[in-house]
Amino acid sequence: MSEIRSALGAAYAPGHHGVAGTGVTLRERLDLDLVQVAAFAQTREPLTAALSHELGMLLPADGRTASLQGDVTVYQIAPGRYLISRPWGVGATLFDELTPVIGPDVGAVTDLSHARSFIELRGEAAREVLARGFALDLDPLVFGENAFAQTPVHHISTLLHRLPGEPSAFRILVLRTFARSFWEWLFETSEAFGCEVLEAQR
Amino acid sequence: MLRITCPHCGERDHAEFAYGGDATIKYPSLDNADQEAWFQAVFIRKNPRGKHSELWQHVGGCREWLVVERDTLTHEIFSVTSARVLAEGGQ
Ligand SMILES: [Zn+2]
Repeated sequence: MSEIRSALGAAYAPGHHGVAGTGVTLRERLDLDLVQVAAFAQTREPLTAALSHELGMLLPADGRTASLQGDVTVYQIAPGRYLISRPWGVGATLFDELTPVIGPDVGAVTDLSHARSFIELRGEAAREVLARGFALDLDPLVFGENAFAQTPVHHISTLLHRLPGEPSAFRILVLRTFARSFWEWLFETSEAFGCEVLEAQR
Repeated sequence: MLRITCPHCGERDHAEFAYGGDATIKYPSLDNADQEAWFQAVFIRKNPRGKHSELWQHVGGCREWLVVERDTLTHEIFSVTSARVLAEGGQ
């Protein structure tokens, strides 16, 4: 595995920023592997079965709810197309593990581990921060635990996932080449609520 | 603001979608050399007032092409179906 470097550069400054108090905590995750597994038009069912068997879990049935089991998170980002993440260092990379399982006649496995930045935010103001850019209803009754959505923020494609087990925690996947621009929006919006930037998780 | 319920992603603002034109147009087969048939298919549109069948792509989400039945006068949306599912013969 080659070393993962943050795309956020000098814009990522651990410490407290903005107004007094901590409405929101921000942290980049550099410890997560990511692949896309995509079926062809006629192979959605065999691909889903093979992937489900290899990962030992049921896969999400639609594009609204993520599936989590152990360290593994799966999003169905389009019919028959999955994003899968888990921390590095639990054996082979996802790409190396899944490539022999999903043959070229069934689908395509693409290593995206250096193609997205993972940013997490938590805290009582997290929803209000997100509401300033995401055109989504984030009420927990609508966007509950493990709800996810692919949606643009100021024309930057993102994937927003409400993390389970905490009252107000979200993970955002953003295209790496847009990550710094997105981060600047998120950081400046968070400053208005008092924000703590933690050391990136490696 | 139009709200379109993508079958895969759920209800979203229309800004996430790209308009793809009239969904009822049937293009001539590629070996058809009839100029008039191509002229009709490429350039001629009815611009109806009322119910219309349109292609939209959920470009900000799952990127699926959708067939949306929409009223061009009231913006009421009657149905949203995956164009892929329609092409495969499903509902
Ligand atoms: Zn969609």
